[in-house]
Amino acid sequence: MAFSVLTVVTVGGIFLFLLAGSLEAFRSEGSSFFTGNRWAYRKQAFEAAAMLYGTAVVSAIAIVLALPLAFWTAMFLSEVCRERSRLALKFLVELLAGVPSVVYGLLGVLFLRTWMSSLFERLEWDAYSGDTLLTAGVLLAVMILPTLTTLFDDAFRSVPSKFRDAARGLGLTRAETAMSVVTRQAIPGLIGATLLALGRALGETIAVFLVVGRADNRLPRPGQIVQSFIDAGQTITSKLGGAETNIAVGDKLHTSALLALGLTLFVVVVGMTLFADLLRRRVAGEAR
Amino acid sequence: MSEDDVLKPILTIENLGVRVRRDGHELLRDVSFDIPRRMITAIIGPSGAGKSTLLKCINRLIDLSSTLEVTGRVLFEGVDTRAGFIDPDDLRRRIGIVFQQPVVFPGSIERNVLFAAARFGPVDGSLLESTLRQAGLWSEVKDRLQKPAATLSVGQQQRLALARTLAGSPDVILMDEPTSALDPKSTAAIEETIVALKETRSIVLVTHHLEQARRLSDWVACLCQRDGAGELMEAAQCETVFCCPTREETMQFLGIA
Amino acid sequence: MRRLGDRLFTLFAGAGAAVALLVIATVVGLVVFRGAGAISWRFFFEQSRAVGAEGGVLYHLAGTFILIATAGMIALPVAAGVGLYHQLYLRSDRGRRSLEALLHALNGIPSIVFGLFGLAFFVQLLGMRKSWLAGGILLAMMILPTVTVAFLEKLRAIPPASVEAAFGLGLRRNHIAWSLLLPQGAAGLVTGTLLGLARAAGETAPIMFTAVIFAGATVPRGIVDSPVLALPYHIFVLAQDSFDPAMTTNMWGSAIVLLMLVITLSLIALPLRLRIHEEARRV
Repeated sequence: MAFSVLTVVTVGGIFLFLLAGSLEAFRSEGSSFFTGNRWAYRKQAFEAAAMLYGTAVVSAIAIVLALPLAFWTAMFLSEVCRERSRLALKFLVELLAGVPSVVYGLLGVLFLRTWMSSLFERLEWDAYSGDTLLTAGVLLAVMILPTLTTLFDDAFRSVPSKFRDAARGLGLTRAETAMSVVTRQAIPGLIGATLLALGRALGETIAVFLVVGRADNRLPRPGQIVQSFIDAGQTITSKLGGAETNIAVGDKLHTSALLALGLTLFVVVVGMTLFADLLRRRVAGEAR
Repeated sequence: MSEDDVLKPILTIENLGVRVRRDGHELLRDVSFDIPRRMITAIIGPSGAGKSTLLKCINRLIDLSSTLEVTGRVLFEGVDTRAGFIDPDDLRRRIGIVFQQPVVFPGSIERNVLFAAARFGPVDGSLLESTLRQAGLWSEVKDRLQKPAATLSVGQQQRLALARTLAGSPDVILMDEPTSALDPKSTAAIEETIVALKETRSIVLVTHHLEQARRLSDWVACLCQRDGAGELMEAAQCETVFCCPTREETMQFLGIA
Repeated sequence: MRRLGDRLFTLFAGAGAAVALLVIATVVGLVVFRGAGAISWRFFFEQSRAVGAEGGVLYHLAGTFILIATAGMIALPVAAGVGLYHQLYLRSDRGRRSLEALLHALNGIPSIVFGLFGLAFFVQLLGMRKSWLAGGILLAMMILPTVTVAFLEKLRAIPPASVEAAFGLGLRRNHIAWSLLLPQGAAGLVTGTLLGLARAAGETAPIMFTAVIFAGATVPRGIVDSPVLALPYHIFVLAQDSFDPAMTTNMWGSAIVLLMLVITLSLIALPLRLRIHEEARRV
């Protein structure tokens, strides 16, 4: 039963390891690691603001696209669908969840990229290629859709039927019951699900790496934010998944900077996951 | 209103049957009886006889279970409740229901009472007070209408649920063991309300308290299980059923030799 | 007005489901149509030639098998231990929730962080160079929560009365674990492991710095400095130079093989898992 200690050691160990390894980079750069926009490893400059921006944008696009779709699909699954078709649809959604990210990356590279590129042309937007933050966001949206839908469905289903019975018994329509009563009761679960999906979006490497463009130091001024969506960019994960990680071997500061990126990702994602956990536990507690 | 109208039953149950779609297992079989207007009709019987199921058929709440199939008819004011032109949501406003465990929605007492009524149209300013008075709760909550409804005791919540149902101006109120979860004081309060309500509405009361049924009801229907499904044993005046039932199952249930 | 609202609701819900289905169909359709032509028996059993541009994926499959088998062999006993500890020794709510939170935290760690950690720890610090074992360990860490949670779900289905009774009879905890909990929970353990393996098979990030190379490896000779080939990494590298048509067929073929592996593993686990899941969730 010391295996459980092993679990603690693993999580804690990784965290401490990253922390220790990052110290040198933090010492060298200070807070400008997060706020500065200059990443040039050859010049030993490691300011990562552009990557933080890229990570945030790509994930935000993914959530904004996937959330409404997942909400309505989950509504359909839990409030409209009949039992047999429900299980079939659920199975299909779960199928999509099991597809490895590298396959999504492949689809992104071979199809999505060209589609986006022709879309930009059609709309006469000034985009250099199909490798953009937007493309990565769209691909990510497809990837988190199954998880988000399943978790939303779980949240809706865990609302006890007594609430629906009471509302319908008063004469509320199915829509009114679903939107006012069920959704309201499911809110902690919905938020938790969103946080979990966001965590996965933030941590996704392979698919994003292939379609985001991998262009460093792209940090737009306030007026240029929308333009930056159709430009290439860089996220924390696409940087870590790239050539620099192997190049950095042997260079202490460089390695430390990359570990610092990893630490940032770790803290944000695990923090989000734990918070989501807290919320989902509240849902379960109320349902008893 | 002519004498004829008063004598016409408000609800007529005709050959009602409920069974599980997948395996044909019957929950109710061939139940037929009338529910008289402006009286309290008690539905009694052993556990599992299908009393709650019967209740849910009357206001079509049974429709929410896609696994069950309903045969037969329920006539409300002479009209088939399953007729194509009937709006089931409106039906449920006119035939209200109160459950054993009160359900409280998030929000204030006022919001709860007017929860459904707010959707039916503009709300009369006096509706909140009149329904709470009818439910016997006004004096206890009039000073804290904006407080969360969750702070009320179970007995108060049940009366709140009743007020909420009354806000829709139903003609019939179905009650599924409304006092089973309550303490004696709350039970007495609700019973008082029920008796007062029958002046203006028809009440259908499912209860396993035989004493309560005997005390409150004018008309009694007894449901017992036969061959695995609930069947109607008798439906008659309260006194008739309790002192001289016609069926053996009723006698067994009531403990009469 | 309310009728209209109700209709709109059904419309939106239906539209949502339709779009979701469309997305699923597109993904599945693209993969199946483009990929179907790329594979043949030869593809399975041949090894790679011309630095991955031609030939089959024999050694890639082998490498993936080695990696996930290692991961499974590590994760299964550890998950069993953690699960039993959770049920037998942690009787308080607080303790249980803390362990669960820990598992969720581990599950949330992005796969690239595992890869980075692996590089810095196994390759640099321990000097193992590229090693299949390091890859297996990292994957095991990654799938541990999946296996453990599935095991716990099954364990929870055991009526607490049985466990109480066993305690009441004076049986020692070890005994209870081996004779009662493990046999009853085994299905969950197996399901969880299969799902974990399915997930591990498709992962690129944890292994790309620590265990795999693109070409040249066959069967590992030792532990240190013994990389393997793997399907996902193969696809990943090919995808970065996706303009060569010869590469494309190979990419699709590898992708199909990978998908077949993942689907097979998932399908074996699916019936059991859906049942446990629905049982646990149905109110």
